[in-house]
Amino acid sequence: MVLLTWALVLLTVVLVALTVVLVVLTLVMLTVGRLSEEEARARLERLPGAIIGLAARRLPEAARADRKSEWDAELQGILAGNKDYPVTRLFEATRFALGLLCRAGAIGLTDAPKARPWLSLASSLGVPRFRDPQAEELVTALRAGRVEARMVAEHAMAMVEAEAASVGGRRLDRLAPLRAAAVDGLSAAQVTELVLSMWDACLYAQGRRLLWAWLQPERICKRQPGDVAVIKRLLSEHCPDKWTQTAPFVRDAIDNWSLDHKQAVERMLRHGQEPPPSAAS
Amino acid sequence: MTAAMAVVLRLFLNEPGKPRYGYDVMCATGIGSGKLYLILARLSKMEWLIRDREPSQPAHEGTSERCLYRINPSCAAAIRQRLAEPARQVQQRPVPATRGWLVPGTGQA
Repeated sequence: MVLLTWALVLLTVVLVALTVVLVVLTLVMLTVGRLSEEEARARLERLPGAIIGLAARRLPEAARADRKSEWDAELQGILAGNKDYPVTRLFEATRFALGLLCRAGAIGLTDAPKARPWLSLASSLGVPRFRDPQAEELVTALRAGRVEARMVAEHAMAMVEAEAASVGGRRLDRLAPLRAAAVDGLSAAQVTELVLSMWDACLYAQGRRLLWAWLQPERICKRQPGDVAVIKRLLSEHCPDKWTQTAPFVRDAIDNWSLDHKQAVERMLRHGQEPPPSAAS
Repeated sequence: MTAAMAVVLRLFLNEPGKPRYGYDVMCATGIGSGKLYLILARLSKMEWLIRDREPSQPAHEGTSERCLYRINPSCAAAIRQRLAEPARQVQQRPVPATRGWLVPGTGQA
């Protein structure tokens, strides 16, 4: 009987101890859970702000602080609204920030101060711009198939080197005549070949600028979605990495194209739809 | 002028005196933030829109102020005229026999 009593007492003590341990564990788990939840919440709420910080880093320094304060203020507005729906609020804020991150490069181009403002001032005062008859001859020869794009790129290289070497020469855009001739005279295939040759000669910025100028809206009547298809095909064939980098740039460059043409290009960029062979000729 | 740009301008022209901030325009037009701010930056640069800072409120000191955009009154008539142009062009433009990929520069399939 005594043994049974002791056994019951022992069992009770063990049960009480277990209950205490369980209660303590539950309290610890609840506290840790709540703390984790708070931490996760705080971190997630900072995510859109961090994305906006990244987007602002893609802007030119002169416009960065102004744009960032504008976007931060908008973000605060979004986070302050929808107080009863934290998930919706976070989704909206993240979507807002991601949209800005994707387009910050193009916004930066719009915000960027003009690279050489004195050039337009000089032309308005009647100062003649840099003339390069050889560039026009070379472009004409390239169009006729008499010279290779590599030779034109070598000429561009020489112009850039001359520009860097001359005292005060940076005030003149020595590639402007070549760019103007190429924009007026070359087809999509020829201009892509020239851009690739310029990239081979390490003239990356100049090549991109030529491509940008070629796709510009003032010459929209001369450009077709098929041209972008040709550019895509040639760049993908020669260096697929370059096309991956160039696709968003092309998308921004054609922003002022007509809606039909833009949609055709978007379809092509999204689904890889290729034009019929006649368009690529 | 792109279709999205026209949508934004029409919104501002509906209530010419009313300043709007970016998120407000985004909600009203349904255009994504990236594209919208690109359009607002371009229109501000063209001086079709005027960009001002929101006047600071004592209750919200220490927080950033939003930017308010409003239509430039001196450009409103020109913008209206410009918005009317594409509609006329679309009506007059013949429908092409084949849509899709065209030969570069010729406008023919």
